[in-house]
Amino acid sequence: MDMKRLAIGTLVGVVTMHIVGYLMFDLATVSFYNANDAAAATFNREVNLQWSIGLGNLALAALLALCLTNRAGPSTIAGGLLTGAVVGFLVWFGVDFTFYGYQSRWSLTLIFVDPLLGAIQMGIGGAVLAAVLARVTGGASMRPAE
Amino acid sequence: MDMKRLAIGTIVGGITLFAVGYVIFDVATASFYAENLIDVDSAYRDTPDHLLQALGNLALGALVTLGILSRPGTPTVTSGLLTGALIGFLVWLGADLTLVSLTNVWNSIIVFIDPLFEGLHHGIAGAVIAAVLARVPNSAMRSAE
Repeated sequence: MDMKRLAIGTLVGVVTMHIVGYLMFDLATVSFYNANDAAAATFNREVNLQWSIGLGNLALAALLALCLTNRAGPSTIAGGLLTGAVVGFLVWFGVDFTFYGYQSRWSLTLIFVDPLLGAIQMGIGGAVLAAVLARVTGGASMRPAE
Repeated sequence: MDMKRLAIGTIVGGITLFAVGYVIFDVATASFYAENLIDVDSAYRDTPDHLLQALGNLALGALVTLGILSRPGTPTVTSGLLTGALIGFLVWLGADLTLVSLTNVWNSIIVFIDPLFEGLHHGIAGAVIAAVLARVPNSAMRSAE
């Protein structure tokens, strides 16, 4: 495990995912989410906690960086985009349906749309992360002869 | 990517996640979660919808299987346990922090405890997936025989 590449990938991923997530979920689709949230008025915070979203993105970016740094061969933007999209879709499909099983807040439409938006967010994160990792030389594990 | 192994791992993972998740979250720790909810009555269903939870577990089972299959060598119970635990912890830490940032349904204690339970939950699933996949021959190896 190359810890330098993992750390750089995680940091790049969290910054990208936070910016893309803010644009997608706090600006572009906020009315769609509110329209499909039965409990929007009582449960949703008036102002989102950006530090908590950032910490959440840090964990998901670490997962994405682990996936990309463990892949064989050099990082490519297309590979990062595809990996990020698959991971994002599976993560949010699994999480959304689990929450939907317990809670009645969201409509079923939202449960199907949210993983697709999550795939776009993490796909962009994966592409940027891969583009940066392609320019980062490996650590000790990649330079045994030096 | 060996699609047969991916499909078997996904199904095994989905079933294991569902069974272990029921024991951990619906039986063993149900009262802990109920005590740390700010508003249980209006947000939570009277009875969980297990069909939709199973569908969610299928997706997470696929994610754990992909993680196990992406590692070199034959899967072992230990490597499956660690891979599943790491994926479960990171996925649910990310999801729980996002949920708490947007809503006031949970208090902050759950956000840090729940990913640990989920690490255990997905770790057990990862161990079972790896134990099954170790007994499923690789398609590429079969075609070379």
